[in-house]
Amino acid sequence: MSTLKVVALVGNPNVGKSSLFNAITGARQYVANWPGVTVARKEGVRIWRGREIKLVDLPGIYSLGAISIDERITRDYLLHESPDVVVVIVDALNMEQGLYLLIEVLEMRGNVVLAINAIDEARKRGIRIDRYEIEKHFGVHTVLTSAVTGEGIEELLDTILHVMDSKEVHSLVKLTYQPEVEERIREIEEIVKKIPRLSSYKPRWLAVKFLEGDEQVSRMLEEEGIKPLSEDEAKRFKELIAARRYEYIDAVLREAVRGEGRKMTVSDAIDHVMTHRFLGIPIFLSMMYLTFKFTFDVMSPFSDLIDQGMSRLGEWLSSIMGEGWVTSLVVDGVIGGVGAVLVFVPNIFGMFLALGFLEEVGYLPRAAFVIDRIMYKLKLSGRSFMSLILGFGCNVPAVMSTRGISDHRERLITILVSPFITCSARLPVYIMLASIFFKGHEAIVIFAMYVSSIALTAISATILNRILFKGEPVPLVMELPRYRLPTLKNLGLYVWERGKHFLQKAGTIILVASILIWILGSFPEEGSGSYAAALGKFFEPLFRPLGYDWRMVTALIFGMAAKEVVVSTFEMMYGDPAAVLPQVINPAVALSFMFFVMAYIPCFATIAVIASEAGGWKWALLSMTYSFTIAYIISLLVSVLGGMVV
Amino acid sequence: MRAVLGVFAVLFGLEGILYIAHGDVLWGLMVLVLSAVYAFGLEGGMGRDWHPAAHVLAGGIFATAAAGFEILDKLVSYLSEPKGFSGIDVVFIITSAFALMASLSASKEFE
Repeated sequence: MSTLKVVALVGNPNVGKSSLFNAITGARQYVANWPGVTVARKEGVRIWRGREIKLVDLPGIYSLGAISIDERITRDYLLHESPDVVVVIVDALNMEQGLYLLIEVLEMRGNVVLAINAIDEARKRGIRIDRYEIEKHFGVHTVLTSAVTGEGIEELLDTILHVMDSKEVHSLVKLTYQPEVEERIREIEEIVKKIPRLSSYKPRWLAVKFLEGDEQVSRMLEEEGIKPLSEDEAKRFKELIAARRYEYIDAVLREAVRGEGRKMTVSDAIDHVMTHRFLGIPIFLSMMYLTFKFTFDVMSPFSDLIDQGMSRLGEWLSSIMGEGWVTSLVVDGVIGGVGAVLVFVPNIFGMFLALGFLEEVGYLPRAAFVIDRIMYKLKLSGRSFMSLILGFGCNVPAVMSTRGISDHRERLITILVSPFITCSARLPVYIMLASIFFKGHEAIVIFAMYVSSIALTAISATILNRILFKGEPVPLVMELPRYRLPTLKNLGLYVWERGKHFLQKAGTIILVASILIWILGSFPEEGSGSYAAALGKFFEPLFRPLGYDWRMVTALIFGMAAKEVVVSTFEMMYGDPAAVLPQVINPAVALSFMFFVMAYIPCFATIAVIASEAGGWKWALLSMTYSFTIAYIISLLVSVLGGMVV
Repeated sequence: MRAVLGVFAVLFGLEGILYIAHGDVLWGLMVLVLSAVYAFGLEGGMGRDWHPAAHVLAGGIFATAAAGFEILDKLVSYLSEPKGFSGIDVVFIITSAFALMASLSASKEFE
């Protein structure tokens, strides 16, 4: 009986690594966390020729330098968990950086397979790749693949099995560096071989990394008595090693790649306009506007259908269960509370569909590139923007994704401003109030809320930069992926992976919160004599200048568990918010409330992740205090100024 | 190419103004951005390499996305409250269809 074999997928960001992973594993995949950290670890299983292969999709990286957390995770995994085979994926249209990573992996270990992906795109451009030349120079089995068409996937799986079953260790080609580098490598290798503690590492890899100035390896070797390099030496060796690797790659590519023209491609032509100095930002705003118009206008009819379904379900249950507290709990508490949130499922899935389309098509990295000019002025970079844009879905992954930001100052600022980005949980609150108070202009109001949340994030970043953290941003260097038509499968997975979180919340936190709110709102007596009313009334004086009544205050308090709960609370406290609310507050107060929800204290999950990622509860406390103060000031201004207009 | 850029810059410019005049301000502004995509092609992109065909190509994609959205929005609305197409919507969709044809033709320059 064969045992489960493990294959790790390694590659630069945007080379189609995840698409290839999806193409191989299909639906048989699951997401966990890397031990000790909260970076998502994607794994999947594929049965091939009767054998079970476990695939691990490692984070996209440019080198094995262990500077960013993603690099450290990948390197530690390859070093310590020893997968049976490592597949290095490179982009057929931009192989240089991917082959650099391949050399680093080859210096570290054997049993490597090279997959040159997007071969269909390369052929369309008349590029021919001689894979046998590449195999010859790098000593690795090489397969040409396309995650889009499925070409080469079976051959890749066969090659993986072949390398797994082979007795010999594959892929041990040795790149020879300049004589002075080789001499030092030999010296260090000799010492390293005599140290038992380092026997699990390849001596040559340790030597090269030491000369490259790798912090972790340098520390290990210095502890064993190896003399540290001077600053000048470290700089010179690092440059020599990088230069030799690129020189080698260039030489191989000259032999192996034919037909690459210098002519502007369709992708370049589109980029010429999309990343234009003056047009880039207006185009980005237009794309965001279309995204939110799609989220609201196109998806609303579906929400209306769910709303009608929920109402009918409630009426039907009332008719068969009769009157009593159990009926009230089920109909008003569970159906009213959870149903009020489920109504927004089409909007939330619609937003992920639009954002997923923009990401899959390759526009979002361009947006990061365009926004980088503004971010740089705020002393942040486009990398922060990529994290922040994740916040449109949920602030928790946005905070976690800052692990890819190597500059500590920039990372901390991004973590602290992330909660100001409007997450999908706040969208139901906006939609509910916009539908009641701004009928016919809902999309504009919601778009304005999103633009305001981006502006608030930017202003906050500037403030934090001036007051708490002073420093210069690290310039953004990123490769822009090619534009491509998204596949339905990838788009479906994108939407489901993000949207299911909302459904899970509806079935857990929101369900429990709805029952709890019903109990607190019904005892000891229903309405203004309830515990919920007592809680709301206790804090009401604080919110009186803003024009909020005790029910709105109660909703804000419960909304700290999850922002969707604000909607559930409204449903239970007001019965029919659409009919009651206009009699209680004016549109200015409604808008002020939307701003408050946009900016006030993040939900519990986000607070916890801020504490763990930023390095302590003091940062979470700072985030809570800061966001509450900002929310209060903005909402007060909106209430007072808006009140003058209304 | 200059004539194509000029015609679409003017057409989308007028349509953008009409949308704003009808109260659809943000949509109108978006259509004006589309007009600017063509107009900047005429100007040579303010000192960058001049690739007028790139502006025709990108403008066509942008217009197709916006028109596609418009059609989808109106069709889906029949599930609850039908919105129907206004005169300016029809003009915008027809202009976008021509912009798409021009875009497909321009893309041949980059193949």
